Amino acid sequence: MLDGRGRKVVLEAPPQRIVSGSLASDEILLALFASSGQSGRLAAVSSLADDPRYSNVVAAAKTVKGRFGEGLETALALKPDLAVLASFNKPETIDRLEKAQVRCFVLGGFTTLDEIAANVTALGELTQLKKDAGALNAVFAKARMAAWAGAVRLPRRPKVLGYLGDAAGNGALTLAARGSLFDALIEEAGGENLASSLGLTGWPTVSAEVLAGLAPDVVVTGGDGTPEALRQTLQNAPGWKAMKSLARAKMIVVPDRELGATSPYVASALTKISQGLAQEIAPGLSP
Amino acid sequence: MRFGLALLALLAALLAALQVGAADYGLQDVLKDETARTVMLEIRLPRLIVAALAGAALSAAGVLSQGLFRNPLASPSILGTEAGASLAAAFAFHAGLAFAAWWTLPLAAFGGALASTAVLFALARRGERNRPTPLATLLLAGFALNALLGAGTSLLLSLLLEDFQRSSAALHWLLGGFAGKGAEHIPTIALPAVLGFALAVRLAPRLDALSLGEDVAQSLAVDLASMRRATFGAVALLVGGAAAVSGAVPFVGLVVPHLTRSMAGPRHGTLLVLSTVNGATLMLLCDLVARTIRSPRELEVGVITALLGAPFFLALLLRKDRP
Amino acid sequence: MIAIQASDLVVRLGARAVLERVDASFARGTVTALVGPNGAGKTTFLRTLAGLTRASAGSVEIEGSNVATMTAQARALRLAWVPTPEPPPFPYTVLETVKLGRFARHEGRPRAADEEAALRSLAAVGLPTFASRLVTELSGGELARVAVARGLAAETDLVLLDEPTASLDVAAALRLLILLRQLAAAGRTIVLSLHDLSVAYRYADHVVMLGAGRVVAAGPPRDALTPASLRAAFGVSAQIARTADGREALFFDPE
Repeated sequence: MLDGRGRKVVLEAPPQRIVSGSLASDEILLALFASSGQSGRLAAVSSLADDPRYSNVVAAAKTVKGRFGEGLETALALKPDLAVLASFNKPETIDRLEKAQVRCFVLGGFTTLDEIAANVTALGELTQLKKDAGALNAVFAKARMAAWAGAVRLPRRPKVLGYLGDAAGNGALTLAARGSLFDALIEEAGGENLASSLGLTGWPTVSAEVLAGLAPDVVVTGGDGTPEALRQTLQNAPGWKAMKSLARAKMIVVPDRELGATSPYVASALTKISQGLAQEIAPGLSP
Repeated sequence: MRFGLALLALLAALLAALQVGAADYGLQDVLKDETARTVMLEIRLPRLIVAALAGAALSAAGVLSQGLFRNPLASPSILGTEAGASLAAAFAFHAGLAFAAWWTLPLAAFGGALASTAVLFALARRGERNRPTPLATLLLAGFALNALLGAGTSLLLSLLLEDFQRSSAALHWLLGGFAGKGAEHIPTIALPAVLGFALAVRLAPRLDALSLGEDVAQSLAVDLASMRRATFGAVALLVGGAAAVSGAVPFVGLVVPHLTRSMAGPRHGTLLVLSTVNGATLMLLCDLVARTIRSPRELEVGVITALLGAPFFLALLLRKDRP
Repeated sequence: MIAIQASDLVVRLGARAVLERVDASFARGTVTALVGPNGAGKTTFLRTLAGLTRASAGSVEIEGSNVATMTAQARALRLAWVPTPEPPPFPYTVLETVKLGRFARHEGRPRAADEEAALRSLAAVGLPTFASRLVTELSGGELARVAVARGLAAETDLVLLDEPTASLDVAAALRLLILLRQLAAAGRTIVLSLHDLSVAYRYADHVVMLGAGRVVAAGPPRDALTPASLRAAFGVSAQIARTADGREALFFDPE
């Protein structure tokens, strides 16, 4: 099979000592192995798997002993028969592993929900757990269908701003725009991402002046606070506080580990955004 | 005359900076449109004032540092003031203090600036029994202190890397900029800047005497120890105030006094006043570029000043070496 | 009358004793040359006389008042210090620089009297047309004369100069020494360090010879600069030759 780099990866037998080098592969592999009771096949997960801010698999990761940091020596000491990495792992890490005769499978994209489903399928094939991968993707697809159904019922497309922290109220105003998974979530939930409509891409840091001129119906951000706390923060933040629609805009706060997930766990974020949009535009339609 | 020209340039820069921005409004829209009024008066104008004050403060600090070290290529950063501000800010990000309220980060940066300057001053006073610490020693001590503080900042940053949001926020700060600065930041910079400037004005004549050499200045009844103390204090106030609102903006404190000396002459009184005005002008222009070159995105102004300042510095060095 | 006097002066820099029990007095209206081999302590002695280096023991008194306990202001009004000039860092004009010599009087706000004194001193050192030149564009010799002018502009009774002739050509050096003699004749007290012993011999009223931090000879040139003292301090063989018109000069040979 071909990996994200377009390299052919051939495995003679199902891998039994897998090291996973990214949170995305940690989450997918742990989900696959948990349903079939084969977590022993994971020799290591990435150290981010233990961080409750970002990881959806903190508990499951405890069953895996090894940790794949950037330390190659510890990874090699585990004598892995497969390393699953992400396109954002350092190229020299991948290079060293391959020179040490470890097969490497590099996951490709993480910026659309389809790409995440494709990553699940690929890892299912690689571990010869196609059935479990299919089941995982079916749950994922169900959440996406529900969001789609919600989007269809919306009488109009709500204007949404996705917002990634504001750097200590110091005005590093970072938005989510086209090309980010966050943007894909807003679009799938039926919203119009205002940052993308401005022609921005990726995670742009914009001028406070631009924000003041926007009138979103909904603001989505990652975090653990309440919507009211978010509103309070924004009412004191540069640019945001001059925004006329801020007082009535709906605030949606999604835990970072869901909003930032690059695995099917991101479905929880999709569901929360979708439900939030439904409440904003058509109150009463959703529970 | 020279002062009039400098003021005129400042006014022109201010008008240009007010006229252009990410939002498509200018002065002419202020009376017509409520959003325009908000953007112009609540976002753009306060930010410009903060930027101008920071540029003025850094330049005044540059005049003092060059005078103190009797070196036209000295920059306030050799006192470790900016590095101290950066370390304290990095710590505030690491500890999460930076996210508590708008004023925690400025306060941390300002405190770090004062503390690091105090450390260098204490080092400078060691062994001052018979004569003041030689300038060369002071320079090297500043260099070592800078390296140490920089290493501390790097350490905290590398610890922060695991936390995407905080590390991105910290990086934005360390690059130096005025994005999102508002009316509440004006007193944050204005207070230390005015205090530092008042001190600097009193120091100016003695800096002239110091240009003859530390020995000669001393023989002319200049009290070197108290003068160094006051100069360190003024630089800490000026640079600390600027760092509190803008992070580390490099090269302004070096380039502005140097440029101004060619129009104002070397006398520190005139040089100080004109550099202060020119510093405000330069910072407004650099910030204008930072705000508009990738609009509606923003660049950090520190990137612009470094891109302009570093080649300028090189050109100065080469010209100075020519026989 | 004694203008400035060092008594039992000891100066230590770090662990090293640079001056050891130096006694010397300088009479008003005279030119005293301070001579001695490299490292003998001439500059340190001058700095200590000027109150810039603190004595570890002993004292320096200007007409009875101790230099160490005088206010800096009082000291600045009584003596001027002219070290060998360093390259100036900033492009002040010559006139601005010379006016700074009167800093203790005007504290940064020079008045007409300060400017007049500065112009007089410039004329005295032979640079009357240099007022508006930039100090950064002067030759080493010109810079040295500007430094002397700056010291003279202070109009102090005492002028201490460290190697003022070091970068001057022979004509400029002679003019400077003649000027210093005139100032002494007018009542000022001049102390200068010199490397050129023949010049000291001919132009000084009084010579103090230092060797390894001690006074090895002192007195009028003929008494202080003897073949014996020169051999002891410098390790050279010296001869005094007399010209046809009766002037004396020093000659040196290696021992």
